[in-house]
Parts: sequence; C-alpha cells; structure tokens
Amino acid sequence: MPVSLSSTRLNNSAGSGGARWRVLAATFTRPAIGAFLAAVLVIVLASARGPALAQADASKPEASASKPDASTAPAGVKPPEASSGDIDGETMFATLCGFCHESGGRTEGKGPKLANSKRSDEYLIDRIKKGKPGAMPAFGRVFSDGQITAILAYIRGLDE
Amino acid sequence: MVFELRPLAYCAALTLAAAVAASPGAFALDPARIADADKTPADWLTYHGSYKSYHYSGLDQINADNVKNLEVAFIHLPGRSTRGLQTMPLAADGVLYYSGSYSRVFALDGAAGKLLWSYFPELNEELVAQQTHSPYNRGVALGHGNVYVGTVDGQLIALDMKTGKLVWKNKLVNSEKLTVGFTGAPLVVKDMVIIGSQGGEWTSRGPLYGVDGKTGEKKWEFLTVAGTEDAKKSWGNESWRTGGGGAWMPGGYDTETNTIWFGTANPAPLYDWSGDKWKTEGPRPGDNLYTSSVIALDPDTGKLKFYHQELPHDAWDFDSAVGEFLMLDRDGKKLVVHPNKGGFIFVYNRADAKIENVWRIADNINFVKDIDPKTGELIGRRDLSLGKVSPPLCPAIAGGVSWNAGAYSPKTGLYYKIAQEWCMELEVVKTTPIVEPMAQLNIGATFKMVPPPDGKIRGHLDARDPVTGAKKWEVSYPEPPLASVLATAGNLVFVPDARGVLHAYNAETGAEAWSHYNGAGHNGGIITYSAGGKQYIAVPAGIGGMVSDDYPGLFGEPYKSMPKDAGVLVVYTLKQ
Repeated sequence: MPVSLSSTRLNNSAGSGGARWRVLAATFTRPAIGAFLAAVLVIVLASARGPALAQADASKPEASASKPDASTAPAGVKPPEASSGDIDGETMFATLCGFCHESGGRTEGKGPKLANSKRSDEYLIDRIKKGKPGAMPAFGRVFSDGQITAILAYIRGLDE
Repeated sequence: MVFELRPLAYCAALTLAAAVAASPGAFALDPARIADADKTPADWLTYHGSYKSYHYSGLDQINADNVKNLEVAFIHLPGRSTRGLQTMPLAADGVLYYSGSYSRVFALDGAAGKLLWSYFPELNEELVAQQTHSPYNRGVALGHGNVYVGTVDGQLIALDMKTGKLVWKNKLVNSEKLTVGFTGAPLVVKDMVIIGSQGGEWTSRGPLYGVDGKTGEKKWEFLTVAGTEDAKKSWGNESWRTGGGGAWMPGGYDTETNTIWFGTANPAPLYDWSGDKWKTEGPRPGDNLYTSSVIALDPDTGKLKFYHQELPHDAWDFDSAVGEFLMLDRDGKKLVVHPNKGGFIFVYNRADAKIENVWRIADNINFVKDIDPKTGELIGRRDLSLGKVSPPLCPAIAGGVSWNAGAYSPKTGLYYKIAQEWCMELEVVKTTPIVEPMAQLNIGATFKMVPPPDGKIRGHLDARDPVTGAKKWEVSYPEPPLASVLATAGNLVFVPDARGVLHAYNAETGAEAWSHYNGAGHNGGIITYSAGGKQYIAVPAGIGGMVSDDYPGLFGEPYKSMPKDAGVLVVYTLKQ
C-alpha cells in the first residue's frame, strides 16, 4: 500500500495561525545502515518498499557463563542527511509525540506542555535527540536533523 | 472453591511449610504446587496468586478485627527505581522474591527482611533509553528451582532460586530491531515458562513464547498478530505488517483442560480514520485478529484452541491485555471472567470461550452503545473519522480498567475491582503506515484527558458478583488507584492507592478498617504470605508508568511533588 510523500505545511503561531510555514527539510538518501534508519524512511516514505516481516528472532539459550547478547542498535551511526523535500511535523507529532504531549503539545500530559515553551531551540533539539531517562524516549536514532527541525517548527507554531 | 483455614490447619500448614523450607529440596518448587496453590496459603507462588487469578489468600491471622494493629515489619530499597516499582512480589517457603526497575531481582528472608541475594541483569541501556514502556518490570515467576524474569531488551532469564546465580538466559526478542521487550511477569505451567512480548503501538507481531524451564530452549511461539492463515485474512492490504497485539500480562491456566488463557493488546495504529468503512478502508481494514482478544492455547505446543475477539477492529485502544482470568464454577458451569480495558467485564464458558455474560463496571462508556450480553457483539460502535471527535471519547485512553488486577474472595463470593472514570478529547490524524520495525510508537491522534459527563475524574473499587455484575458496595477515590487489589480470608480487602495510602476494607461491607501512608504512590501489586508463624502483607510503593505519568498534569499535588524514580517494598505484620 504505497503512500506518496505529500507536500506539507505547518501552522505558524503568528497571529491567529492563519499564516503557513513551509519547512524544507528532507528527502532522505538512504544509507544502508539497518532497521532504525529504515524506520526513519518508513515514516517519511511510507511503504514504498517491500516490507520486511516484523518477526521476533528465535534464539537458543545462553549458558550461564556466557556474555549477554551483543546485538545492539548500530553505534555511531548518524541519521540520514536531509536534502530536499517536505516533512509534515504535525503528522510526525501525532504519530509519535502526541501520546505524551497532549492536545498536540498544547497542554500538559505525561510530558510537559510545549506551546509557548521558554526553552531554547538547542534545548528542545537536544531533548528530542537524547530524551530524559524514565520520562522521555531518545529519538536521536529515529529522526533525522531535518525531521527534528520540522517537529521544532511545529512546536514553535503551536497556539495555546 | 471455598478455602477456609482453621487455626489447627493453619498451624499444620505452617509446620509443613517450615519443614519444607528446612529441606534442601525446598527450592525445587514443583509447578504442581502452583496448581494446588489454594492448599498452601503461606505461599504466593504466581503472579495472580493461583492459576485461578483470585488474588486471594486463605490466611486469616490478620483480619478485620485486628488489622488496626498492623505495623511495618521491615522495608527494602531496591534502588534505581526509575518509573517506580510495579512488581507483584512472590513468596515461597518463607522467602520473598520481587523485581524492580531494570529487572533487578531480590530474594529476602520473609520474616527478618534480610537480603538473601540479588541479581542485576546487564541490559542494553541505549535501547532502554529509546523505549517508552521502560525500564519497569511487573514481576517474576517461580518454578523448577528457578526464578524467571523478563527484560525490556527481550531476554528471559532463569536464576537459581536458592543462590540467585544465573542458570540460563535466552534472548527471545530482537528488541534492538523491534523496540518491544518484556515488562510483564512470566507464567510457569508444568515444564514451561510462558511470557508475552509487548506489542500495541509497534510493528512487532506481539509474540507469546513457551520456553523449557529447565533448559531455556524456546519450544513454541504464537503471534498474536495474524498468527494463523485465517487471522492473516482479517488484515486487509497486508496491514498485519503494521503490527500491534502482544500478550504483555501473565494470563491464567485451566488445569482441568490444560489450557492457558491470555489477553492480547490493540492493533497499530491506535486510532483509525476510516470511520464506518473500517472493514474495507483505512490503515488496517478488517477485524485484525488476534488483537484485543482472549486466546486459549495448549501450553505444551502453543497451538490455538479457541478465542474470542472482545473488540473486532479495535479503533480505540481498549485492548484485552488485562491478565486476570478469574476461573470459577457457577450453577454447573465452568466460567472464566475477564475485564476489558473499555470498561466491560466479559464472562466466558471455559470450554470454548462462548459468551455467558457481559457487564459494565465503568459508568462512562460511549465508544459503543453497549455489548450484547448474550453474544458479545458490539452494539452501536463509534468508529472514528479524521479530525476532531465530538463528544469526547469515553473512557479515555487509560481505560475503564487498567492492567492492575482485582481480587475475588470465595468466602464472600465478591469480585473486588477498580474502575476508572475519565474521557478524552481526541483529534484523529492520518499517519503514514509503519510497516517495518522502527524504534517508536504509531498512535495516529492527539488527545487530552477530560472529566466524564457525570462529574469529576475518579476511580472506584466495586464489590460485585463476578458473573452478574450485581454491586454490593463501592468506595470512591479522587484519582483512580493503579495498583492491584488483595482479598483475604480475614474478611479484608487491601487497596494500595495512587496517593500512597494502603487501605484495608471490611470485605463484606466496604467499611475502612485501617490505612497507612507508604511515602509514595502505589503502581504495582500486593500479596500476603506467612513466614515463621506470622502473616505478612507485602506491597511495593513507587509510582510511574503510562497511566500514572498523566497524574501530575491531571491532578497537580501530591503527584507533582511525587518522585518518579523512587521505590520501596513495605512489609507489614501484626504488633506483638
């Protein structure tokens, strides 16, 4: 069920919200670097590719003296670079962020209210990437810089 | 079955327990003991107290007359209690076992409280930092001389019950790829350890595993999303790839028919925009089997025997993942009672999951007009379309009930269960289907929790007939309690509330008999056991989780000031 990448717009907080921002953020080049980055593509490009089955891996038990499984998320891998194209910050927010930041970030929920946040852009970007232990997941391996820019633009555009 | 412990029998049971504890074989813990858990009330051998999910103990040393004399016997601090302490402790042969955040496991002397051993698994911390349902753990299982615990990075671990040394571990889920892992307690049935992965909002197909308890070898795997060819057909456009499901709470076991019962979680994305065209349109057209269902499997093979989908094409995240399967006999019928997150209680025939009754425990429900009590069919379902949903959806995403278990007293014949009253404003947003594993959620909406039409947000403990739903009494709380309930033969019902107060009520009348503040909100389990001739009540305190995380914003104090990284196990007994 391929879904085409649509042109997207973000609400601007100026005035009554009638103005629109257009955030140029990313068409992703896809480095062949594994599931996390593939996931990023999936968000943006939908199911244009043949999907892999989300099956759990079967494995044999380890002896008590053995080391823990070393398979981890790819270390030191950067998210895909943004190039050109549009990202819908509002949709990404509703997909991933709205679960905790209620009313699309307009009111406090599990996470804080984000509308009219006094935090700096740098602070918000850092928090999105690194999360907060026990409170917010780290999204640094999920979102590209371009997507984070789009989400930040969405947050900055929120009305109360 | 009514189990009433007489003083003499009580002493005999304790003597037997002491003798067993003193013998080297005490730590073998044959799973047959779990099947006969009613006969050894000194122990609490499995998450739900027994395979019947009663959360009930035949102990009556602490009772409605003397409960006012309860005092703290000891406490234990597990440390590193990120997002509180959600565990259900267990007790066997005078030893208390429990898990904390990061699946840390502890064994304590049940009478003196001294630490016997602890085990801290090595987790993929980078993954843990990316997970939403992390790093909490809801409990361990006992059997075959081992303590079993799952981890949020997909491991099932067996520890020697006596020493805490690692026996084996098996990385069942590639959590680095699928995000999900294990938060719930395992269930031991005969030779097997059964544990279900999370699912819900992720592309994982929500596997449930059967693992050999002695060797750690995986024996079977059942996919709760499209686990059979027939089920696959219930996901149009191969939308089973968007996943969901999962059986993340331990279920029940019918020893008479050798059948395990598990509840499954919702499909992804949570909210569908296809409205009444959900059978053919939207992100996951069709019924989406076996999500939001109860499934009955053969524990030896993992083969599906039968099922009932409580919410075909769940469009509201009101899943069936609650682990309680209350097994009781009534009028010659063998029944099982199972709460659904939407606020309805389903009563099934244990032979085939045919509906015997459906009754509502939550007052504020509008996602359906009703559920047919004879067939289980949803009547007047409220399927959502893109945009704002009006009026607000009831209950809210946190549900009319949550995963915390109720209790059933065979002595009073009453089912003590917490219900939740809240709704939410909702705007459904069309999201891009996520068909490959990725690291985060697939929700599809923005929302805000709001009061229900009939008043303030609140919770209530109901004492009801489990089959008919007839209510005998009710206690109301300004915020829904989020911990499990305990009933005892001492004519008591214990409710650990969200503010941190542990309440004891008269099981017949609902009158409060005692309360004590534990220093932080409760978000886990509660058990009773006996050691050295004394009855104890063990309750974890320490709040944090997907529902309680909303409490500071919803209710303000005392939740705003309550730590979300604190945990303590508090153990009570009677004053000398």
